[in-house]
Amino acid sequence: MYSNTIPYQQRSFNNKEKYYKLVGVNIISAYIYRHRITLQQELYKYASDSVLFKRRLRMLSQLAQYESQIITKLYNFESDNIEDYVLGIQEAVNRELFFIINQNG
Amino acid sequence: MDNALVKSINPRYSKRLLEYNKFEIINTLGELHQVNGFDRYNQLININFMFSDFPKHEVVDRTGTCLGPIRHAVDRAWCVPTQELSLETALQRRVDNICQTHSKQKINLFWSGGIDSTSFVVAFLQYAPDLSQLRILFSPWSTYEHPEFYKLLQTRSLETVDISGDKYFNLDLDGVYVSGNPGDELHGSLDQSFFNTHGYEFLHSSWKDFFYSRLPDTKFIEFCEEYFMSSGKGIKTVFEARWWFYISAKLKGVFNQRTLPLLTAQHDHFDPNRLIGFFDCAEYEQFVYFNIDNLVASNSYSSWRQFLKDFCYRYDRNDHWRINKSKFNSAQLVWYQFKKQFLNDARNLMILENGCQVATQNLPFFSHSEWDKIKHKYQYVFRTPNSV
Repeated sequence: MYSNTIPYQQRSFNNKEKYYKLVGVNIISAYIYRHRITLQQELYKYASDSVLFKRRLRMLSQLAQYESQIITKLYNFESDNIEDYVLGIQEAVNRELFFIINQNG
Repeated sequence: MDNALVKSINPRYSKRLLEYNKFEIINTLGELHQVNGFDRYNQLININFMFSDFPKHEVVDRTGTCLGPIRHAVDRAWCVPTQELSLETALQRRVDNICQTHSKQKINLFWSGGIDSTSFVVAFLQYAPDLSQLRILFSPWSTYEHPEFYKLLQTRSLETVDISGDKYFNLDLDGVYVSGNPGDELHGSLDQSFFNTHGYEFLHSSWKDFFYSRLPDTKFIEFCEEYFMSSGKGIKTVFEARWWFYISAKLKGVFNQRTLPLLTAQHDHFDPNRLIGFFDCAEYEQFVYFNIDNLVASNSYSSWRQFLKDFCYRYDRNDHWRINKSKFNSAQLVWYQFKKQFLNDARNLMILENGCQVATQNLPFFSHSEWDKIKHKYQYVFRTPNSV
């Protein structure tokens, strides 16, 4: 429904890019893993509440979709400037993830 | 539309966007950047800083005398109102205008449960010639904020749509959308922290003393004196200065940065002309311009925009709400907007007036080289320093 498949670009990475992308994947994955575990635990917690159960299940699906999207973007991103990676990762983990997993959304 | 001007700039990327286009940022206040070669625009940001420690949302000058580095679309240039309208007449004329202009379309009303949105929904319920033309869009949070009005809506055989859950991701409804923007800005954008920090009496004190205490620069004060003259009325108090600044330079910031992306952040092209800010009209300015003294009726923050609550009371007879309701930041549409942007991969650097979203391919990752790939298409949106 709202998924948007982003194609991978065919290109090679220099060593700097490889390193920044590796660190980026580690940070983003760690944050997403933590949120995924929390949501999974809440699935058990709200198993008897059909509305909250549905919401948490939907959020899990959205989180997986977001993870796929953001890793693909990191893969495709063209820059070997560390600041660009730092700002992008900060935006993803500090802000975007906050909205993806927030219960008000 | 060729060379469509800018509706909004994404504050997350505005600094780098300016730097990549070779502007020299001389100072940053909150999310706003003062740029070398745009002195008068920079002074407007200083005014913004008088009222907020962390200024957000773009400064777009409706008087056309303080242009900034970005060519923004100004929907309505400032024009001094000459004829006063009563509140009821202003609201009725606005409803008539929208209903006539879009007579064969559905009118979708975003109802958040707050003062502005409840007021304009009441105006439609009172003055719209055909209630079947209306469709109320709400979320559970609207009903939490104003449960009594939700019950009343259910008794009026109106079409209502709960946009929560997954619905807002592809909000593909026919007709036009109307929101309660820019209700805050037209009424002086008085936030509770400013009111609580300074108090009611302070609002009626001299703006010059206040400004000078925050920024002791006589050139700045002289600029403000000149800029305030464009209002067509003597601006003497802090609240009058605040009202004038928000109506002249901040009118559409929240609307374009927060409300518009809720509709543009999907894959179908959305024409921004289909989104209407109810209070963004000459008719309402003809009321508010002559009633600045009534915007804060008493020394209680809840009296801000009391006349709108009184207007609602005359319709729904909800005395408790009329007396006790205070401004509350209804952030639900903001949550929806951001989540929709991210999951639909509809992030943007800018939104143009034709609805086009300017974006590089891998946002939120943004780099000079990625901007260079698309910048040739958007050079025209940047002004040359010292050219205005």
